[in-house]
Amino acid sequence: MQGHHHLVAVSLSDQQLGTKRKYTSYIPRTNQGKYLALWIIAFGFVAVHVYRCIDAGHQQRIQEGLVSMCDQRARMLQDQFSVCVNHVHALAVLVSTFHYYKNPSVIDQETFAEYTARTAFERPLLSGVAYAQRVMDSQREDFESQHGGTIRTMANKEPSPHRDEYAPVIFSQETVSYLNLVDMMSGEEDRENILRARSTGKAVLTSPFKLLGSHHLGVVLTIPVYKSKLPPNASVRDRIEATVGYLGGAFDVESLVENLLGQLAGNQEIIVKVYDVTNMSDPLIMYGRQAQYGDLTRVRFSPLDFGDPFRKHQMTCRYLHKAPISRTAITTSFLGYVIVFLAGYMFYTGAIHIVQVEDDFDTMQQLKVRAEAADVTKSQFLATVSHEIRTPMNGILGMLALLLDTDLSSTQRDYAQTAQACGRALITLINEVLDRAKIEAGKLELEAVPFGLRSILDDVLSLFSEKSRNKGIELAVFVSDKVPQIVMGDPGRFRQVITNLVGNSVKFTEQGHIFVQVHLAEHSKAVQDAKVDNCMNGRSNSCQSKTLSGREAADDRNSWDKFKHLIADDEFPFQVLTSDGSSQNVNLMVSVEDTGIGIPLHAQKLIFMPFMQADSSTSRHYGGTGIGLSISKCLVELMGGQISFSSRPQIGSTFSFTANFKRCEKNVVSDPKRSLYDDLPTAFKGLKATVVDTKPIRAAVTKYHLKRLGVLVEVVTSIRTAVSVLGSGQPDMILVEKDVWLSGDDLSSIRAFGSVLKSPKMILLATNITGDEFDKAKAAGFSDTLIMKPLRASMVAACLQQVFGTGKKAEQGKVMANGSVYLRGLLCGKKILVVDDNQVNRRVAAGALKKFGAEVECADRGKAALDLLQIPHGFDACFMDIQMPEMDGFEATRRIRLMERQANEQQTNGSIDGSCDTRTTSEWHLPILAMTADVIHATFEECQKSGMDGYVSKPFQEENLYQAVAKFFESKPTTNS
Amino acid sequence: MNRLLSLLFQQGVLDEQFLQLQQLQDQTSPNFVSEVVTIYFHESEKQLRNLRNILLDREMWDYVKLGIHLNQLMGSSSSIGAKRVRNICAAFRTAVEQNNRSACMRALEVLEHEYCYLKNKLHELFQIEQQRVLGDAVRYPGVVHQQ
Repeated sequence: MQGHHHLVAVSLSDQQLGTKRKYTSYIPRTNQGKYLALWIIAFGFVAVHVYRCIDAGHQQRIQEGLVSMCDQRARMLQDQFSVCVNHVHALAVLVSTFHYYKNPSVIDQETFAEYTARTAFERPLLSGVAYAQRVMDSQREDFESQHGGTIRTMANKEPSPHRDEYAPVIFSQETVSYLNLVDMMSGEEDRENILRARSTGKAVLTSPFKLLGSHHLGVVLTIPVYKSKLPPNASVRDRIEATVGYLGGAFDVESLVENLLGQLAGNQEIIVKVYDVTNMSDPLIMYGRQAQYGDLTRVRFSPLDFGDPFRKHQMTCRYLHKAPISRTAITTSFLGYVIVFLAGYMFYTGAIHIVQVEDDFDTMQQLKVRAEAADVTKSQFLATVSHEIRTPMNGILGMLALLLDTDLSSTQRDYAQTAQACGRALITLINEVLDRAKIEAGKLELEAVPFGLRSILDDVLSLFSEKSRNKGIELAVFVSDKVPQIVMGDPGRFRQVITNLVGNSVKFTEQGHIFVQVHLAEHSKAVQDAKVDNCMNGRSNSCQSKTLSGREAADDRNSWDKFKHLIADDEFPFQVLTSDGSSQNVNLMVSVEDTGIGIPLHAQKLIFMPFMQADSSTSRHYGGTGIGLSISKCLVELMGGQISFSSRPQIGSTFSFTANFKRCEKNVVSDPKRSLYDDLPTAFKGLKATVVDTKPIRAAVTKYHLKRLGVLVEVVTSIRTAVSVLGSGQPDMILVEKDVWLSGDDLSSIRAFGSVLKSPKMILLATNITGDEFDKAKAAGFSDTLIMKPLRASMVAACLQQVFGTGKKAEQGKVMANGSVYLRGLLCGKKILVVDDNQVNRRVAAGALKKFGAEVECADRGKAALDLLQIPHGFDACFMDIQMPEMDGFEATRRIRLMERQANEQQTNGSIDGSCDTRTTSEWHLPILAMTADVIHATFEECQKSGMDGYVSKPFQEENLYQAVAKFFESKPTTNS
Repeated sequence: MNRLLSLLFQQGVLDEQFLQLQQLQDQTSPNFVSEVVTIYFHESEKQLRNLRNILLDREMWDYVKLGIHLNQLMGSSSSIGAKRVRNICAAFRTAVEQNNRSACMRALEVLEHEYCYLKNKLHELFQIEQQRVLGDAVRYPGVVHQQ
């Protein structure tokens, strides 16, 4: 069975896990490494791309710099060149103007040299200028003679061989004076240049070549000089015809460019080369070294226009050093990549961690479910085992009871009694464990039935009265008037809690008092709040003597200061009640105060834990398992309340709890279950009593019990005062506390006074009394009676009955709380009809009823019962079996009720006629109680429907019978006497 | 006697109701228990006979009557506290409700066996008690033993 349970629990837990596992997870559970690698690679590409983007911008900027620098240089070079060319032009114009147009010429070599030297700054690019005259071969003789020299070739300065024409230099600048009379047409380059210049009429340039007199590369500029002004559209022939000479100049490109670049910023960074690219396939270098060096990747070609359309030049620029790699690009992309990498790694570790935590969580969940299942199983096991133990234990206890009934020697009896006591203790323990297990398993359900709070408290008190009396402890209960008579709730569980708390208190208290109080929680709280500072101020000393027994209690709240206020409002009992009477809930505050050993401070936290006692020595000294308080806690919580305590070691403890009950509807109260009301006789209503007591709380308790009996109570603090009051009020009884009497007040005055009038009954109240004291009390005048505490309303009633003689003779001197004795009183002399077809049952029922003194008649079937019950008849009650052949209990009852109705009608008619007989003054209504084996609610309802008044379950049980019967006979106790 | 009684309790033949019955016996009705038990045996034998007849009657299979007799037997058994007989009656009744004839037959046999056992044991019990009452009377002449 247990194993099965366990299996079920485990499979259930698996299912739960299955469903639990379905939570959405955003984290990949496997292959986190792959995801990380993917992430890293992807962002690697991204980083490279970013680098490229940034680098491209950088490269472009570098390129642009190169372009602008190169263009700038080209433009400057070009400008300076053209300036030079223009100036040479101007010289050409000068020569033509002053050499040819003037006759005779105003220019000679000296003038020319002087002029050119002084204007040399205008032509920075030219190393020198010279003018060569066109000399035809025919004119050579004249020319040579005129200039006094021969025309020489350029190559070896030898006299020139004969040619068609010559171009000997006649004017030259100082710097190139070595050119004098050198035939410019003897050089290949120059000759070509001259021919081109005179045919185009423009300045023309040679390709670069090594200049004479220097190792630098250079170009020669040649401009034709015409002897007459030419029309703009002159033909080539015209031009050649008109040519008289040529003005030439050598550009020392290398040093010139050097100079030029020197003036510019950033000269160091770039390499500039100038090419003559007239022949594209074979560019001729004009400036710069032929070797390729510098940054080869980045080149800028800037075209140069030197004004010679035949020749093309260009400038090439390179960076000297390779462009540095862009640091920002690299840093940016690298740092970005590092950040992304770290982030990826963070995600990776995070994911791994999350997965791990999730797995751990799952494991925990599983373990938790398993633990819970185990806990439930444990509770079930406990419940089952306790239950199984209970059954044989009942047998053992029954047998022990039987054993004790037999003849035993005193030793044997002692052993048997010990065994029985142990057995009882064991069964109590098992019941407690069972309760606890039931609560834990959630199987305990509270009933909601109406019950009388006060009678339950009285019952609990009676349980402990013997013990408390032996110990000399004052045990008292007080229920506030505002607490309703009947509340809805679970009487059994309520009793259990109270019993437990009081039992604990009795166990741990050696002297002093135990005081149980019940108030409405709201009321108690309000008073407490109002009074809390008062009590704080007047703490230890003023409160000390004001508890029930005069000993200090742990919780000052119960002292007289507060109690006074609680009962002060009782003077107007129903005002509060009606004001909140609309609400259905009754919230009760119950406190149990004792003056015992208290709870050690270190143990106070553990007190509600199961199987925890204050310390291990506790169980040695006092016994018990320590499960009671934890059960009480559970029960109180089930009742919708809270339990708490305050305790001071060696002074005492006060446990208080609240509990929620439902107010009982008035119509429910009028139910057949009227036994809920206190079964208190009402004979004492209106009597007056004087209570002599010095302790106000104790007096209040006495007053409470007397009030329940309907006795009017007056409290005085000494006998003398009582005597002084005597004359005016004339009480029917005077109740004196033992310690008041012992303190020396004289009673004789009352006696003396009492002898004049009808003397009041003297009653002594005592917790315990010795034989001597008892005799002394009798002598002193307490001849009437002695009431032993703890006080209970029913017991007080019994005592008063005895004193006043109002009770039934048979019961005099007995306390009549005991059910069977009471039952006997109820049933004695009653005539009862038992209807049952089963002979055995009939006999048993009859036997049981006879035992309680009833007169029993039997009928074996419904018909016979009807015959017997023909009106008029002398029966006081009828017990009716439900299941009978021919006519069942319901049918029989219906018929009986029908007969009664007819009889009643006749009787009313008869009474109108005036002929009514004394025997039938009341209406006919025979109490019919169903006897049934199965007490199901439905059956009970059917019983009511057919007109029955109640039911008893078969087989007869004493208290059952008592409850059912008491309802009918107690309410009309004088019917038959 | 107590040993026998405890044995019967242990076996579950009797329960507390029998003790209650014993408590009902006092001076006014000294033979109450044996009187009741005698009535019980008388009645029960009648019921058992009826049950057997009904069950053996192949043609007519009267459940209603069977139920009535069983109820009677059950009621009286629980009254004297014959727990096992009562339990078997309950089982018998469910068998009858299920219309299970073979189960009924089986139950009847068990019932008869149990009944015989109870009867023997109770007879034994009464004999012992009688002897004891006699013995008491010898030991304490003039004192009537009270249970």
